[in-house]
Order: sequence, then C-alpha cells, then structure tokens
Amino acid sequence: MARYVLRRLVYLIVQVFWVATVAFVLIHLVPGNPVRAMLGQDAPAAQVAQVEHVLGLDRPILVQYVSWLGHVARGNFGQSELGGWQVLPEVMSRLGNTLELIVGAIILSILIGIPLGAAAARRPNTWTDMILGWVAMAGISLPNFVIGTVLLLLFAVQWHVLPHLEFVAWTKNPLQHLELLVLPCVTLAAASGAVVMRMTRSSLLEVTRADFMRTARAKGLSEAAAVRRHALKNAMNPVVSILGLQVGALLGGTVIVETIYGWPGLSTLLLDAISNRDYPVIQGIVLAIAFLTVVVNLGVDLVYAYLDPRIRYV
Amino acid sequence: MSKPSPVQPTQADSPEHGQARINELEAREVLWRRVLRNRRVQLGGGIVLITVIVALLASHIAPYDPNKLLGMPLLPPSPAHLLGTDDFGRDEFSRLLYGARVSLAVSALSIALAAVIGIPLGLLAGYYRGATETIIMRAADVVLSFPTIVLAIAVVGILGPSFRDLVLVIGVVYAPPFIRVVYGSTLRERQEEYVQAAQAIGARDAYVLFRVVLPNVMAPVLVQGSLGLGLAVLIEAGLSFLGLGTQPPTASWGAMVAVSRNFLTRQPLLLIWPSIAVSLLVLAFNTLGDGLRDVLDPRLKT
Repeated sequence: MARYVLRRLVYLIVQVFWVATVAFVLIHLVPGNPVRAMLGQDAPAAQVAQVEHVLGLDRPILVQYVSWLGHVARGNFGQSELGGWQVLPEVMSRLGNTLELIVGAIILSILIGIPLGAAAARRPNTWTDMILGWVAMAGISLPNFVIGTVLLLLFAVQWHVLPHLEFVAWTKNPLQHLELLVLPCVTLAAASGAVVMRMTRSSLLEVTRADFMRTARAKGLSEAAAVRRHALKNAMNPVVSILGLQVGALLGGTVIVETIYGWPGLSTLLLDAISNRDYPVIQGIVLAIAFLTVVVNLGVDLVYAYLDPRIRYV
Repeated sequence: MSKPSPVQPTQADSPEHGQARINELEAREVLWRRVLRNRRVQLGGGIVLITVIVALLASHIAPYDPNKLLGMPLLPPSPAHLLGTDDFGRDEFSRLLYGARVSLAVSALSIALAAVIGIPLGLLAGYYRGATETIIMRAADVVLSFPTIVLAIAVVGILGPSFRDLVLVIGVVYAPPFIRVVYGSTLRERQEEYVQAAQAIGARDAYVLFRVVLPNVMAPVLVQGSLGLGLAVLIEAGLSFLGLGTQPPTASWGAMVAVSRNFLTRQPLLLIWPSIAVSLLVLAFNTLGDGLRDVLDPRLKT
C-alpha cells in the first residue's frame, strides 16, 4: 500500500509538471501582447519594450519557461501583471471560496442521489423508477446557467426569499454566508446529484443479484435491512469513483455558477485574468485547478482501494 | 458487426463464405431494427431530427430576419410575434430557429473532429501497447485532468472568440474520451480470433486496425459520440452565456439566456424560450446516447 501511494505521488508530480508545461506553452504561443493590453493599443513602442524588459517578457521563451518553473517549484507564482499583487495568496483564497461550492454540491448530491437511486433500484422498471429516471435525465441535461438563472428568477426576484447578490465573508456573518451558499450549491448539485443517482441505481441493481444478497435474504433479513447492511456498501465503489470524476465537472460548473451568483471564486478570477491577459494569474489558476484535479483523482483511487480490498496495488 | 472482407478473392466464391456474408447482413439488419425500435432512440433521435430540419430550413420557416430591428422591444407573445420580441425588438421566434444552427454546427463539427483525432489514437494505443500506449494514454490523461469548460475558456478567452477556434477547442478537449473508449475496446478485441486470423493471413497493420478492429469497436464510439454532442451543445451555450462563444448579433441560445437576465422582472419569458430550446436538444442527445447504449453496448448499461 505504501509503495502504491508513493508511486502514485511520483506520477502525480509528473502529471502536474506536464499540465504546467502545456499551460505555459498554450498561453505563450497564443497571439496577443499582454503589455499592449496593459498599456493600451496605441502606447509608444519604446514604452512597450521597456515594460517588456522589466517583466522579463523579452527573454527567449525557453528561458522564461525555465525561470517560471523554478519559481513555481519554490512556491512563487509571481505577481499579477496588472494589479501587482502576489498570485499565490490570491489564488489560494479564491480557491477556498470555490472549494466551498464544490464541497457543498458534493454533499448535496450524495444526500439526494443515493437515496433516490436506492429508491429507483428497489422497484426497477416501475413508474417510480421511470419518473426518477427522467428526473435524473433532466438534471444531467439542463444547462447549469439555465438552472441558475431560473432559480435566481424564482427565489431572489419573484419570491424575495434569499438575499441578493452581495457577497458576505464567512468571518463576517456565518449565517448569511451559508444562506448565500444555498442557491449556487443547488445549481451545481443538479447534474452531479443526477449522475450519483443513476450510478447508485445501476450499481445496486447489479449487487442485489449477488450471492451474498441471496444468503442475507435466506437467513431472514428483510429486504430493506439486506440492502442497507449488505448491498449499499458493496454498491458504493462505482459511486465513489464517479463522484471523483464529478469534481472536475463541478469545477467547470463553478465558472458559470460563480458568474451568475457573483461568487468571488477561482473561476471569476480566471475570467477577469483572461480579459486582462494577466499571464501569471492565468498560469497560477490553471496550475491550481490541475493540481486539485490530480489530487482528487488520487484521493478517489485510495478511497476506492479502501472500500474494495480486492483491488491490487499494481 | 462486420467482419473483414476476404483478402483472397477466390474465397468469396466459396458457398460457405456466401452464406456467412448473408448471415452477417441479416445480423446487421436485425441490430439496426433493434436500434430503431428502442424508445429512447426514437424519442431522442426524433427531437434531434426535428432540430436538424428546423436548422436547415430556418431561413424558410422564420417569419422575420433574426437580426432585423422591428421596433418595439420586449413585446409579449402575439400572433405577429409568436414568442414576442427581445430587448432590441427582434423577433424571438426567428432568433430561436436560427440559434439551432449555431448549436448544431458547433456540436457536429467539434465532435466529428474529436472522433477523427480520438479514434485512430485509441486504436494505436490499444493495438500496439508499449511506448505508443504510454505516450498516447498519458497525453489523454493530461487533457482529461482539466475541466473541459475551463480549458475551453482559457483558450477561447486568449485567442478571442471565433467559430473556428470554438470548434477546434471543443474537438481537442473531447478527443480523450474517444481515445479511452476505443482504446478499451481495442484491448479486448485484439485478443479475439478474427483479429489473429487477419494477422495470420498477413494483412497489413493499417488494414487490421481500420478494417478489422475498427468496425468492432464502433458501438461504444457511437454512444460516446451522442453523449459528446450533448456536451458540446452545453459548452457552446455556456461559453456564449459568458460572452466568450458566439458573438452578437448572431443568435445563440446561450447568449439569449444571458441577455434575458437583464430583463427578468420585465419579460421573464425571454429566459424561458432559449432555456427550453437548449435543454431539449441536450436532453435529446443524452436520451439518444442512452438508447444506443442499451441496444449496442449492454456491458456499459447504467
């Protein structure tokens, strides 16, 4: 097990390195001059050249790459070319806000998806199953910007139930912060909850046909107890792995959800940085996201191995 | 599923081969009928088909030019304007019809691109194993380790929005799922006797890969393609919603939803129409994909 974890950690570093390289190349091969974006299109060439020199943008691309990589390895992500602030602390604080949304959405999808999936699996091919199946289909198919806007229309505009778009930090007013968290999390959870539900259903259906379930019933357990005590844990493996995959999708979803609800997370920072061509910030965010995804993948594999001891660490 | 056609022409004349060919054609027809009889395929495929027809005939069906300013903005639905008018006083119904073009064109082209990139790479990785496998699959992992829409935003945001770049980005980002699916199936199929038979009679690798293995891994590719089309519609609409996709004045469902947010209190219907359109199309692609999976690929049934 220890060796397996170690190998995975090495692999993780390699993967992050590649993503970082791809991000760097992608951003630098693309047309458009950040200094021009900063100073305005009609800035004198001499001034542009001077700023480029100060920022080190006039060096050969390979030199820039190596120096950037060296800084990143030491935890220095550079400064915003526009605002001058350090990239790493800002990215970390925004990442915290984004993670709140993702964790909230995952908790919601588990709370909604697993019971509904289990309900559908108990009565396969009945009306209940079919209706739940369409609910899940709708959850997967409705774009999050549609769900988000409709929820905003209903709650904030029509019914005046939830507070409007004014971000309140956790430290200032925890209760109000939680209230603000509700709609974005629900919006995000629609799709992932549906995915969890479908996976729970199919996985449970598979497990209930297993021999140990026949044994459980034969020794006199009620169907509900047999499902709760024996089937659920065995059916959770695929659900866990699909939840891990959902983290990536959720992260993508935050781009739109943060925009709709004015949530100061990583994605809104990314959109700002892109419109300003703020390279160090874009690179920092891209790295943070890649790192997060890779770590989550590792976490999922470890949980997976824990849930199913039959998995060999190869 | 089709088997390799004979390499030596004399074989084709043998009665056994003729019978085998007939059986194969019958099997294909039976499978095809089963696909068409599937409820989900009928429903999803039906909606997709209608959308395609609407998109193709948009210029004939639409009562107005989608970009023409007709005067009164934010009108409610009426016989003159079936779904009312938007904030510039353009006919909402006409814009909705034209919006189908954008959604379908982006999704079809980008998924075709993804398939063209992904299928050969998946075949190579699964068939040759070794270093080829490692390089291709790790590269796919790197792309996959990125949330699709974030990558799309990064690229489109930097390049500036354009139809071509949008298709390119979605196509490249969606290639890894194709690679994965084809790779997995190829790993399985290459052990089969018919592949070994083709190798044994000395068929070239390209022939074995594309004429022998490929037809037998197409089922999961079709499923993946259908689900991918739904995702591509979502990404295009999402990017347009953020202002990074289709640019005004071209009608795009995502952008129409974005605009409606400014008029939620005055004309909430402007939110409803494009929302229904985009949701229905994605739903149709997903339902079609589910149906195809039920029939073609029972192993993956969910």
